[in-house]
Amino acid sequence: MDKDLKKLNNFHKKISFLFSFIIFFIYFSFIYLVAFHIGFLSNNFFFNLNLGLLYSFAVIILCILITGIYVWWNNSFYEKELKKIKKIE
Amino acid sequence: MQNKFNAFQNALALFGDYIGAASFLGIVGLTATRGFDGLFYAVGWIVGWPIMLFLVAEPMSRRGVTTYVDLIALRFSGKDIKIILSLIGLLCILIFLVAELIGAALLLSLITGINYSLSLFFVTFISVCFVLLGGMFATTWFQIYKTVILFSLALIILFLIFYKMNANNVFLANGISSNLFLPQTIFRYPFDYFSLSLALLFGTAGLPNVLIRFFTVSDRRSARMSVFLATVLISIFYLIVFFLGVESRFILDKKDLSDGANMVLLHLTRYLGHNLLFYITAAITFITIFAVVSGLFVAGATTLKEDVINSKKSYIWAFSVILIGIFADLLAMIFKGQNVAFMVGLSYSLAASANFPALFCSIYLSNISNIAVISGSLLGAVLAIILTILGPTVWVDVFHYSTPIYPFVDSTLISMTASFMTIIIISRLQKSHNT
Repeated sequence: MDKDLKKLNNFHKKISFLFSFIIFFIYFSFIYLVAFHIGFLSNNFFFNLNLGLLYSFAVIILCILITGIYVWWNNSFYEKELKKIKKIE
Repeated sequence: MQNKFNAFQNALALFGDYIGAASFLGIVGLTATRGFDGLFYAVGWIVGWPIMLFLVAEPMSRRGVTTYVDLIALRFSGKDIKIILSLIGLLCILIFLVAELIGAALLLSLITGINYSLSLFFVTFISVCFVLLGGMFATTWFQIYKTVILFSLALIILFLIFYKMNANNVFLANGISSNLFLPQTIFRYPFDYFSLSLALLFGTAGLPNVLIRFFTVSDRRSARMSVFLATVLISIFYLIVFFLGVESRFILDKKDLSDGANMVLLHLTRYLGHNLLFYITAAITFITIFAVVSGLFVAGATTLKEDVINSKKSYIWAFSVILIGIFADLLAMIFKGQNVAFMVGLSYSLAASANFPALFCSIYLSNISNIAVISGSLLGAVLAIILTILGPTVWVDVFHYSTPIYPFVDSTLISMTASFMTIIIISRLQKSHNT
């Protein structure tokens, strides 16, 4: 049981890191654009709304989505596996 | 711990713990006066939540600890590490607390005309009494109610704006099209963008008062769900508040905007709903600040009682609350004129540079030694503080030298990296020394 638990937790750790990395990537590409490519972000894509605003909103919405997926995955898959392992004892 | 809350209640409490004057008044004011800055900060504060959940909160709940110091103490024996890390955590809390108290006292003295020191004493005294009488439980419920009230108020102001503006349709476009909303006004150097982003991203995970709130639920599933719900609520709130800032820029005239960024929202409410809405908003802002302040007091007193003094007696808790209250009052008196947002930023920077590296390394890295974590944490804290003092916000604006020694506003990129590297390098050296 211990070995299974360790394997599961390792997998969980990898998933956590993967999700964190995705968030980093999204956020820091946004920051990169803000820091170095201001002109690009100032372009308007829809009448008077500029791209900077669009990217900000996109980052926020993506964050919510990713958090939601993580919580859903955790609450369904991970907890189920955990219960399975704990029951075997 | 006392009664547990369900996921939604905990989400409201998390929101209540997190959203203070800086988020409410600050973002509106920042957006109205400087444009894109407000959204930039808002995004940073939002993104910190998933990171806290993925990297820190899960492992902590798996090991059954409630404060990050407990987690580190699980791994390393020895009192010194617990005490030093607790003190640094306490410093973060204290800076944040002082910033919020200054905000509340200034607001009170502005509205009622009482002088600053008396307002400050009054605010601190009430907070201390409330926390002493109610503890974590009352604080949590207070934060829950505050969230509902604050959200309702934000929506009311939003609808009032729509109502008043339904004649002229493209106010939104007019507001946003001005050059103000181009993100070039914040920092001179790209370094600061990355540095501040790191502070906002990891500071949330390193701030003790939010982390403690993760564990006031009955089980792990609710804990995760509450973080998700809190993130959604906070995002919606920031978007509303950002929009209020955009409209303030357009609606208010030049005089109100130059009054100081923190007062923009109040001017807006005065315009929209005359004195009634103004006083209601002021009262609700107080409630907002009190909720955050109570949370900080609880977190700080718990840390002081259990980790530093290491006692189980309940009167020590009361003593801790009062001690923190006195310290915070004195500091807020000294730092009276300071920029509140800057102090909050310093608290985040400190949390990201000192708390987070210690926490992360204790969870994920093997072969880490006691001394390495202590040194890394201390180095991160010292660098964060000194570099901020040598930077433009303090060296130039406060001490009035002509050029800052440290050219950047934010220090996190350097201090956090240094902290991590110290922990890893010293552990390596110790390992090779021992084998």
